Amino acid sequence: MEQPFAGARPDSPLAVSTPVFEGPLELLLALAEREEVDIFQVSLSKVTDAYLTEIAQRETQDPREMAEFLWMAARLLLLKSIKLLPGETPNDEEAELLGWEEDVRQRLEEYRAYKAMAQDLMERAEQETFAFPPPARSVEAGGQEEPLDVDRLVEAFNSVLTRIPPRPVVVQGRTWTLEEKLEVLTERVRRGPVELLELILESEDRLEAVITFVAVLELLRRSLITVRQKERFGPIHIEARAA
Amino acid sequence: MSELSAAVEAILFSSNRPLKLRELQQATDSSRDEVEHALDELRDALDGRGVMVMRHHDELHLATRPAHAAAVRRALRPEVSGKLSPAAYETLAIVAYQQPVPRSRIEEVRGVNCESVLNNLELRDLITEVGRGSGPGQPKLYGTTMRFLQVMGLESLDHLPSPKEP
Repeated sequence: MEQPFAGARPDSPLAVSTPVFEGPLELLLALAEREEVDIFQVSLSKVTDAYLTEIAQRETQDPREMAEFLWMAARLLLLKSIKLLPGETPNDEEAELLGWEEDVRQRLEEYRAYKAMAQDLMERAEQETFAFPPPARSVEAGGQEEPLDVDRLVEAFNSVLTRIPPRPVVVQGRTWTLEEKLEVLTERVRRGPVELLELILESEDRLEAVITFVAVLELLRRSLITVRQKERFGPIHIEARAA
Repeated sequence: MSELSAAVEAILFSSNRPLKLRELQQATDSSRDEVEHALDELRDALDGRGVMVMRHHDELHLATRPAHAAAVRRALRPEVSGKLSPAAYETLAIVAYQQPVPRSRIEEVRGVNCESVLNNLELRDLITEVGRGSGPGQPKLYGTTMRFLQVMGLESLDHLPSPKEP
């Protein structure tokens, strides 16, 4: 059950369809199990027919994804045709294909191992095995019951901003959207009070710091959090507002 | 149990967030070795009790023992976030067993694009960026979080079930 956000590839119809198999690898593995073919012992080409039947029934409109399935189908067919004519020394192209088969086998084997581990994790998570952390306790910030002035927040934010590095030249960092930050922050404060400064300093760069700060202001506006400060220039605590 | 162990227990009990080993050192004015030793002692002392020391790399927290999760849930009804998809579990398994791991490696194993699944796991605070790879573009490396241990009911990453032999 993916969150709507997780399927955020709006250009792809896949996000909303229900792909039984996410990729050729997963399909191959499932077929081998269904047909009870040990593709680690015999040729991959044994599942060619099943594979073709399966993709003929697929209703995939995403051409990019379909291409991956078709590419695999083409290789399987080629492989099958070689296996049907045994005895001849493979030419270069055929030798390459046999190497490919071995490569796919190894990948399938690895994938199968991780699927088993995923199954273990899923079973763990679905049993009643949660280890609960201590509950959130209120922070020692008495004497400031009124909501904190936003100007003071901005002041605190500005003082900390200089401590965050500018974006480095080589970037492959993530770009946060406000929505994502809001989600992360809501989850964070739900688990307990956080200190504003700490929160801001976790930012990778100034852009993220600004988004974090804007998210704090937004949560404040929506009355989902309260901010408290015991003394001027003291730590500023953010707490989820009791519903 | 030594004074230091008791102090560490008190600190962990009173904290609502995981604490770094370094923070425990500072708070108790002790060396790393001393705190490690105190933690071992505390772990032994808590054997068979309702709470346990949970450790994720250098982060420590007290948590209820997974065996009593049902009772705690009945008493307090703490929230547990929604179920994950099979794809998410696969991705999580690869991250857990191969961390620190770049996205490219995860996609190699699963044979499909994993960007959205990874983002989802990151938003749920089950995985996080733990560093940057040395390859071109310095790819993000993923690792698990303290929250991952809580959800799986694991004392530490050493308690992950061992991979089955193929």
